[in-house]
Amino acid sequence: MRRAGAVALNTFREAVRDRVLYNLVFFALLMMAAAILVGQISIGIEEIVIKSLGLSAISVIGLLISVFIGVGLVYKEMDKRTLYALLATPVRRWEFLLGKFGGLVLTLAVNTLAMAAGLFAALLYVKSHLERTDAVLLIAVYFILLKLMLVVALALLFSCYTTPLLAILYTSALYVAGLFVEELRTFHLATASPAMVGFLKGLSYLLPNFENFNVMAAAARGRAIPTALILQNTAYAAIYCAIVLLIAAAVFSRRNLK
Amino acid sequence: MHRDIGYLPEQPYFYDYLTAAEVLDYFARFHGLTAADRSERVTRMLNKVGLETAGKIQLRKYSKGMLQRVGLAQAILHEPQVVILDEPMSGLDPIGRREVRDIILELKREGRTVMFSTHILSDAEMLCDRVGVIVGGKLRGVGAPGEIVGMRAQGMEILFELPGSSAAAAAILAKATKTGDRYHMQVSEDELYASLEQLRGLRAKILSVAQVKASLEEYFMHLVEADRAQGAAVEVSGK
Repeated sequence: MRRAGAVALNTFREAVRDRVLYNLVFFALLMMAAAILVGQISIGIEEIVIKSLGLSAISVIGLLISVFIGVGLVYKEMDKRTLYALLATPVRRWEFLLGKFGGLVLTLAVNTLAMAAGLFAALLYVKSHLERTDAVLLIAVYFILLKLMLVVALALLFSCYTTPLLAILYTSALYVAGLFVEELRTFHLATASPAMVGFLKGLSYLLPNFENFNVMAAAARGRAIPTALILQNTAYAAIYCAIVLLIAAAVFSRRNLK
Repeated sequence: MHRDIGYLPEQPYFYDYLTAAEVLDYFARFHGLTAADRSERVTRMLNKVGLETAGKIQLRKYSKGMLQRVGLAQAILHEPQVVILDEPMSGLDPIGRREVRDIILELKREGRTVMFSTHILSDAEMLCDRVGVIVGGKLRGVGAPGEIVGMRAQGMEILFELPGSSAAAAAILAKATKTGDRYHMQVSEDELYASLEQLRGLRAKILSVAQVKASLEEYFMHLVEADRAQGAAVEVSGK
C-alpha cells in the first residue's frame, strides 16, 4: 500500500504541476460574476440560483477533469515510456493502478473542496450569513465526489487497454447511459417484448447509476437528504469502484507492454 | 528479485515535471527506504552520476545525456547486485558516452554484475569481461572479447619511418600505408621477421611492432557476411 501511496502522491503532484487546479480560477470568476449579477436578474431566488449554479459547475468541472485526465492515467505512462523503469522496481501493477486512481481522486477531492469553499463564499456574499440548511450542500458535494470517483475508475479501466480518444468516448457514453438507468428499468411500459424487458433490466443493474448521486435540486432548496441515501450511495460507489478497479487490474496485469 | 536488479530502459523517459532529486526519491520509495535513507541515497547517487548541481532542475530542461545519467542513477539507487542497461550509450555525444562508460566501470569495480546491450561494439570490447553476439536475433557467440575475436587473428603491424627512396624500398612500400612521415605495414606472423630484415636493410627506423587484434566489429561483420552468403546459396538452390 505504501507503494500505491507513492504513485498516488506523484499523480497528485503531476496534476498540480500540469496546472490542473487552475480551473479553480475559472470557478472563482464564475461564482464572483454569479454573486454580483444574480441579485439583479433573479429577485427572491438568488440563493437557489447560486447553489444550483455552484453545484452544477463543481460537477461539470469535476467530470471534465475525471474524464480527460483519467483516460490518460495509464496510457500516458505507456506512451511516454515512464512505466518501464517503474515496473522494474518492486511495485506491482495493481499497486500502480490503485495509486493512479488514488492520486486523481485526491486531486479531485482537493479541487472539489476548494470549489465548495468558493460556493459558500459566494453564498455568504449574497445572503450575508449561512444557515444550518446550507450544510446540505456539503452532502451534495460529497455525492458529486462519489460520482467522480466512479467516473475515474471507469476512465482508468479504459485507459488500460485503449487510446485516450476511444477511452473518452467509452467513458462519456457510460456516463450518459448511467444517467438513464431508472428509465431503462421502467422501459417495460413502452415495449411488449419480455426478452427486451429482461435485457434492459439486466443492463440497468450493470450500468453505473449516476442519477442516484444527483441531489442538486434538493440541496439547492435546503431539503434534508436521508441518511439511508448517504449510506447507500457511499456503499454503492465503494463497491462499484472496487469491481471496476479489479477488472482494470486484471486487464492491466495481462497487458503486453512491448 | 526486483530488489537485486536495477534496470535502465533504452532512451529512458521520466516525469518531466519532476526534478532529478524528486524522480530518484520517487523510485526510492518503491524499495522501502526510510525518509532519511532516501535523502542520503538520492544525494549520493546524484553525486555519483555528476548531477549534484542539476538535481533541483526539472527534467524537461535536461539534455539526453543528463537524462541517461538520471536513468543510471535510478537503476543503481537501491544498490542492486545486477544492473541491466538497455543501450546505455545510444544517442549520446562523446562526452556523454565517456561519462556513462566511467559509471559502468565504477559499478564493475564495486563488484556488481553489469549487463548491457549495445550496437557500439567498441564499447562492448572496452568494457565487457564477457560478450554475447546476436546476429539476426540468434546468439552466435559468447565469451571474453579477446577469445571471440582471437578466432580471427589479423597478423602483425609494423610502424616505421623510411628516409629517402630507392627501387628496393618501392617494393616494400607498396605493401604499406603512409600517414604523415610514417608507414604502417600489416604482415602475417610468418612474414614478420623477413619483413623486419628487409626494413633493416633499407635503414628504416622501426617504431613499433604490434599484434593486430581483430575487433568485435570485424567478428560481427564476418558473421553477417557468412549469413548473407548462406542466404544467397539457399536462394540459388531454391530457384
